[in-house]
Amino acid sequence: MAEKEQTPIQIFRERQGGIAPELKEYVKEQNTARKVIRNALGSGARTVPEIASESGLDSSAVMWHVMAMKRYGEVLEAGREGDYYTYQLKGDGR
Amino acid sequence: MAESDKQYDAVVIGGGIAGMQASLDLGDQGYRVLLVEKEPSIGGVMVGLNKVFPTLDCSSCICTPRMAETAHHENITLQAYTEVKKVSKNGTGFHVELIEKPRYVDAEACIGCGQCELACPVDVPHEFDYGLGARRAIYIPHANAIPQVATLDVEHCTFCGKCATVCPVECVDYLQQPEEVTIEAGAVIVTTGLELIPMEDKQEWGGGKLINVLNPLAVERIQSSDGPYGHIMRPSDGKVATSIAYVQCAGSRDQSMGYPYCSRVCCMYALKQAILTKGYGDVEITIYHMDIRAFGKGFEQFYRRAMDDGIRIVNGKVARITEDADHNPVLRVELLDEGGQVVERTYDMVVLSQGLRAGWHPEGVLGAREDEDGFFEIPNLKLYPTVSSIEGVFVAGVAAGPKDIPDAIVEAGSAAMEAANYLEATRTVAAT
Repeated sequence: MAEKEQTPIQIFRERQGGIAPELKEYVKEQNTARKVIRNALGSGARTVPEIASESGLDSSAVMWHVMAMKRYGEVLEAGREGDYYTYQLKGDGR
Repeated sequence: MAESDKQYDAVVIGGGIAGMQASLDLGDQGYRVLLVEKEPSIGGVMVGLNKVFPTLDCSSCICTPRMAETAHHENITLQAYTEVKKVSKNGTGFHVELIEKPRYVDAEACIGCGQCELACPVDVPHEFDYGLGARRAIYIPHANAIPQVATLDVEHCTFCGKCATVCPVECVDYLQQPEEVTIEAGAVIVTTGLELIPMEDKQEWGGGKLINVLNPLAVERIQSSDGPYGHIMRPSDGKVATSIAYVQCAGSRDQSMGYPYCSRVCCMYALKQAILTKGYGDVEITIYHMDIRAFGKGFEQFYRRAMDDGIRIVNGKVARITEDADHNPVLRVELLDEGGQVVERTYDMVVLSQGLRAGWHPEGVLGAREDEDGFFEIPNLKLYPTVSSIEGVFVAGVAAGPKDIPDAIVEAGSAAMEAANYLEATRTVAAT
């Protein structure tokens, strides 16, 4: 039986030497951070410091992730509390 | 005029505002131009700015028509995402070797829909937003990018294949490789632009590690309506900044850092950003300076407007910047107009008005000389300000020295005219 021909993505992956361990770690951390942020926002709109406090993440990391989630439509700006804006998950009607 | 596809009258290296202007000025005269740009999109620094001084015009609103005109000009060929490997003299012209980097996207077929970016599972700090915002591993550089096509960042790709799956025109091409391109050109114009003087060596100001001490181009992105935040917030915790300090001459006029020159634009861009921020809300803004340089047309009036707007412009030398437990930057300042009194002041955010240095160095690629400040040497600065040390090579914009946008555009026009004269003179010599 003829060997199965490689697909372009397989050839691409092979040419690049596979996924670097650092990238695997980076993606794992990103997915973990997003999960805990979603959990924190599951209870309603929060400021960045509030999300940081509830999630245990550094507030600067929360800031970056929340802004990324806002850019790609997962999070919306909900309102303002003092000097901080609050954020909520899209589809969260609260 | 050049006839073959691999022959051009001129190659312009650098697709920012100076490069586009030089290309248009030559193209409008009927010369065939190849515009080479190392980034995925043309536009340079200007397309990422918020507003320009002193007119406060929207920067991308005035830059994007030039970008579109350049891209659609019948005499200009755009060669984006390409590096210059070597430029060698070939008679009176030049042999130019280029490396076109793989986007892993068929740029002719891509319609810029962005579906690949939405499907990609990996978020990456976005260079266009100086790391403050995010893009995906496959991304369109920004809303005004030309060409408006996707590029795959292979270093962050997990080979999931989702981009190819969702692409409506099947233009993801994983098998692309770097491509060597060789052309012949009659003249070369270098418009490789600027970098900010880095602050990593300035340990007394935090060494680039303090999160709420920002570079001015990052602040341009924060202020922009298409920026990463949507409001003037600080990166550490999203707090809306209500007190901001600017530190002038960050890197410039600093012998210890190796940049003894003035960068010409920092006083004006600090005043511009301060005026705009003041207009957004109740913010206390202080600019610490050694002296304010407002030399151009409308600049003095702009400076006085800043003072009328309540911006505090303080003659002071910032000795040290640290931060407190909440990442609020703390400045230790010697107040020169108050008898040299030393005070410590805390702010929500600090902007270092970083100076400019050359964005590219020709060593190993093009045998042009640099001056002692690291910019292209201009042997006869007074009479031929865009003529480099190599016959047939012309320079414009910050590649020749720090300057603002209007001066870069004027120089680009001058370089284009010098190049045109050179082309006509060398063709005449060749014909006899």
